[in-house]
Amino acid sequence: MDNAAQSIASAPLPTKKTLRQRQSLFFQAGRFISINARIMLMVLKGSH
Amino acid sequence: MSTAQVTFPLAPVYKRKGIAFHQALATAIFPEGSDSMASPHVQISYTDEARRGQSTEIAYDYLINATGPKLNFGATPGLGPDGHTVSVCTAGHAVEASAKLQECIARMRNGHHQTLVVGMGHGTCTCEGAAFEYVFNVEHELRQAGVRDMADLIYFTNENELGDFGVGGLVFGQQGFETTSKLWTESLFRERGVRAILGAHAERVEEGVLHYEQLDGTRSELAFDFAMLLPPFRGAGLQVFNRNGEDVSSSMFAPSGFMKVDAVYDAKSYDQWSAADWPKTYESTAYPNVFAVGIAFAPPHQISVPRTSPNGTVITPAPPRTGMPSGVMGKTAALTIFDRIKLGNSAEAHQASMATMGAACVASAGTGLTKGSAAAMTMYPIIPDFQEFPNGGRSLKDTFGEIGLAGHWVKYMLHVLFIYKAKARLFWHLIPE
Repeated sequence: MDNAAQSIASAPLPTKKTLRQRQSLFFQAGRFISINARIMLMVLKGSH
Repeated sequence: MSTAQVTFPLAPVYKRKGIAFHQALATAIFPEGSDSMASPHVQISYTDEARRGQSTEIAYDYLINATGPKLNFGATPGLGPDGHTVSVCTAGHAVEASAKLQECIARMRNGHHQTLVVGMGHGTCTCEGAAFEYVFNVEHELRQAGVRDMADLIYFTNENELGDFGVGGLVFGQQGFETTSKLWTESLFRERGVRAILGAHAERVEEGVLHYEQLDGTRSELAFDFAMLLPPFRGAGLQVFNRNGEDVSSSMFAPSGFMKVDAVYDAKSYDQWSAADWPKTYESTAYPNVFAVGIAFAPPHQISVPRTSPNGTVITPAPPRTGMPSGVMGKTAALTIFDRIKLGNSAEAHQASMATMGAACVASAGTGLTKGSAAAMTMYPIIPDFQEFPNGGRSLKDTFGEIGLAGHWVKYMLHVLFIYKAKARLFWHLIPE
């Protein structure tokens, strides 16, 4: 196994709860607002 | 998405806004004028159906070079749609890549195991994020088609480690811990069963075989059934002539064809690199009424740690500068020109250095309103500043990454908004870059 394969094989896997949350419409609705807020923050930081 | 959903005719948009539009290829700049025209001008060659191949000259007071890249497939023999790989750099390329992928899926359905390679077609490529999202979209398509177990999917990259993305990797604050884009990306590769070949330079491509060199100097071959490899970028290849008709291209352009602006281009070692090396105003140092923004400006150096194989091959991502930063640079140059027209040439230039600019990147990892996913990332600043942020060069508070369905919704929303903005519809200017 090469270094890249070893490194990938030892990376943490998401738990079932995390995988459910990633596809949960209710949970992701909240994340949608949060991600947009973070992007808007980047927009403001990029304004000169 | 279909081609019609991502492309539209430009002429009606410019006509509606009262802007003279020439669909053409710029071939030469005469910043001091010439015998045929006293004022500064650009020589162009039309590319529209009616005037294809005809040349003319357009006079300017201010010039913004926003050509984007020349797709340099020629840097790697056998690379590209005219060779043995596909690309997704234009709508036409993406349609062709999609058709080839469907042929590959059909072969899998007929019981033939396939090897699919997605990544970078040269050791100095940029836009690793685009290859990243393409590999996970392919993975998503294979699962949707029910043939995932018939495919060996390989991400082939010039990055030294996963999660570099050409920006030297990111350090995130996550649930009270610091984590890295490397760990975060490797986790996704493990979850989706995608293999990776890192620190790699594609030397040449033959029918079904990729020949490559890695950072340790080893040379190998990889047999493939489908390969989407992005080309390295060059500048558009404009020539520059002074008043006497002498070629002075090297005064305005770097050897890579990108335009030199107000960056610090002195040769420096990695430990001497500084956030202050990056341009702020995007003005040409040779002619201050000329600007270059987006991919068209020459970066002072990479962002990732530069690496060379023992054979002397440079294998390091070039710095990404498309998307959000390009929009901000373009607006900055436009505001400077606006002030100079209104207040005179002494008006101070507006500034927007990538060293003080944040950026967001949303990399699709599968489509579908309820089944899709994307990796959403933000970083601040784009250029690491190890003096201000000793731990990783960026703000832990403002740098983050997250995978999920919401990322796909954000990606789709941004697509709709940016197409709306590009069409200059009502209130377009309220949509940020």
